[in-house]
Amino acid sequence: MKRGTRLWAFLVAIVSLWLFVACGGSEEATPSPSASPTSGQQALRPLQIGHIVDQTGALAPLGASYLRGVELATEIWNADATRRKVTVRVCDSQSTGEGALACYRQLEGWADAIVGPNLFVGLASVRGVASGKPPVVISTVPFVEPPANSYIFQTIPNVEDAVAVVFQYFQRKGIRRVATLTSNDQPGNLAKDAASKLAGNYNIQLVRSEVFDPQAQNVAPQAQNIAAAQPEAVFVWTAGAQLITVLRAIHGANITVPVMLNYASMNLPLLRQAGNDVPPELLFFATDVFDPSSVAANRQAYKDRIETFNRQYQAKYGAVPDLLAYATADILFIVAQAGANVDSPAVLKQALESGAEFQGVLFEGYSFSREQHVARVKPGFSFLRWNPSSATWSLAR
Amino acid sequence: MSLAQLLNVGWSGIWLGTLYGAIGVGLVLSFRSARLVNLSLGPVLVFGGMLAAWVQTHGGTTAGGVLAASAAGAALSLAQETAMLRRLRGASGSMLLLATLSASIIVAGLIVIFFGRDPVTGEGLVGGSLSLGGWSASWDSIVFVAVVVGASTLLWAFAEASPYGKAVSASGHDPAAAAMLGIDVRLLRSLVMGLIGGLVGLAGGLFLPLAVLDFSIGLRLTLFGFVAGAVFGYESLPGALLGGWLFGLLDAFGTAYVSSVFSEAVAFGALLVLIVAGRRLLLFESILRWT
Repeated sequence: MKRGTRLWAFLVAIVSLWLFVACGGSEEATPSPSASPTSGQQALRPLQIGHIVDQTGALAPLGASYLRGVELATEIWNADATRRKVTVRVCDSQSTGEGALACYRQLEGWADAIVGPNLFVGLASVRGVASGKPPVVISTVPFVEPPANSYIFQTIPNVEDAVAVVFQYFQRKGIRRVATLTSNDQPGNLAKDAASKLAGNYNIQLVRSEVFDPQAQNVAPQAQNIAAAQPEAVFVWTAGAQLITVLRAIHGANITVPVMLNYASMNLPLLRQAGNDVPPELLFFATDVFDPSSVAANRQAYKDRIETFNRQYQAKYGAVPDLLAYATADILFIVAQAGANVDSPAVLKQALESGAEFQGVLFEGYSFSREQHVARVKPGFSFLRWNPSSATWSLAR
Repeated sequence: MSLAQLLNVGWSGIWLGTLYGAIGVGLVLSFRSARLVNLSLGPVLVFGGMLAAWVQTHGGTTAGGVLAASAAGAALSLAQETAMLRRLRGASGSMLLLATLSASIIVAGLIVIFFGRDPVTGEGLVGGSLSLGGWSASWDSIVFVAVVVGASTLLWAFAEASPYGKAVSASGHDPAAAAMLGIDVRLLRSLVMGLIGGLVGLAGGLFLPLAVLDFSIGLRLTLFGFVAGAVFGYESLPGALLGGWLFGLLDAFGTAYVSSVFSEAVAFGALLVLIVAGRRLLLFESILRWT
């Protein structure tokens, strides 16, 4: 080969390698197991799990938590030598529907199951192609209501169930006058509709329903309207960086009543960025996982799982886990449990639909059936209060 | 509707309108100096804001971040003038528009390269808030409005009262004739582009504590800046600020009192009605003459 040709070939190889690294956006994480598998699992190769996650873009602060949850769950799962190992390949959906779809296309031929996308914009783009064929897609998005017998599964209860528990909480606290502030996108609109539909059931009067454009730089007019309506509590539904703008607007409008946020907003980096521009009582709906001491003695195994996860999370990331990390850890655990002894993506779907209970951390247990692809969870939600000075949350009784 | 509510909603429209007005001032001045609609000003503003946030998170002071934002805005605009616009002298309006659109995409790309895709916010220069009666405003929003208005006024004085400003207008109308009169058109345009970039960069740095910025919103801000500049004829610098405030107020009051679902549609609809009715009453022409 001539010298010039070799030089060109070398340059082409370098450029191709660079393009592959720059554009591929995926990485494979194969945590080293601490022991060899038992004979029962030796015949099965590691379970291959694709993870579609927003690592960059407007939803990246949420994606970081999702990523941590799956990473740690993978380590915890693989650390037990008796289990079938899992291998996770991560793909960055860049906070866009097109990105999520591209990731799905990239992973579908390789993965036995795909976890994520975990935000609505991603799952809405993927569900059309993923619904009728393997691999299984399992997501935390509480809006999709996957059809029976499809290949999509949802672990977080539907938005109506979530709004219902919020209203139960308000009712228990004697709060009757509630205002809503929801993003003007599909998840926000579903939350707004659910609030309108359910308010009467809990003797709640919606004194003001405001929406905001997720790209808006100014939410002050809506916050002023809410302040003028003199609610006893405000229910906010938003996702991503817009949370900061919303909290600043509420703070600026001198709204001092309790503000309840959806779980997608329960994100430490975003709350830290909001700093002290937060209302005095900021609440989230969550689960017992945030207060293991409240877990009854007869649920010791669950309590142990929580404490192990929390301890390892703290050691690995130097922070306490948030709800998003717990939620994605659970979808990894669910898939790993369902796929422990199956050899094809189609059989994995049947294992999920078997009605068996899969153990989790955010919720103690999850189960699905052929007809019901939204998980039945146990137990239900509890509530947390944000402490801005210590940047932590505590259980709100 | 209480007076306090009216004032607070109105103030939110003013500070948001000031952001649009800053871009509008830049657009009008670039049009006067080079007959150019510079679509890259929104992304330059975002670059400034993202740089200010970066400075804050890397141990710099808030004021240092704002100054860096302004300097970076000036440098980006100067680079644009030197590397691109100077070489396109005599090109058609559509070609220049295409060039600035390309520049805006490139600036957005630079934001991703230097600061990433994640949205940012940051500390303000002063913090705290001012309450007068029912009106309440953060000091950072007051500083933002005051500094942008002050800087725009200086630019206005430069453009209207100084011989350089008159030369800017002359070189915009007929660069060849201006050059024959001894005006260094190239130097003057570089100076103007630097000033424009400095203004929008400054606005980006000061806007940081009021909202959340990310690489993708630049062109949207340019669009609203164009609205601000165009309302009063795309010729007047104070008119661009007034246009920004008008649009910001329509947006805020439309959101508060008409519909938060269709807030921008309401604002643009109201603007359309104002333009049509205003033309009949010669309202806009009167304001333009005044400014």
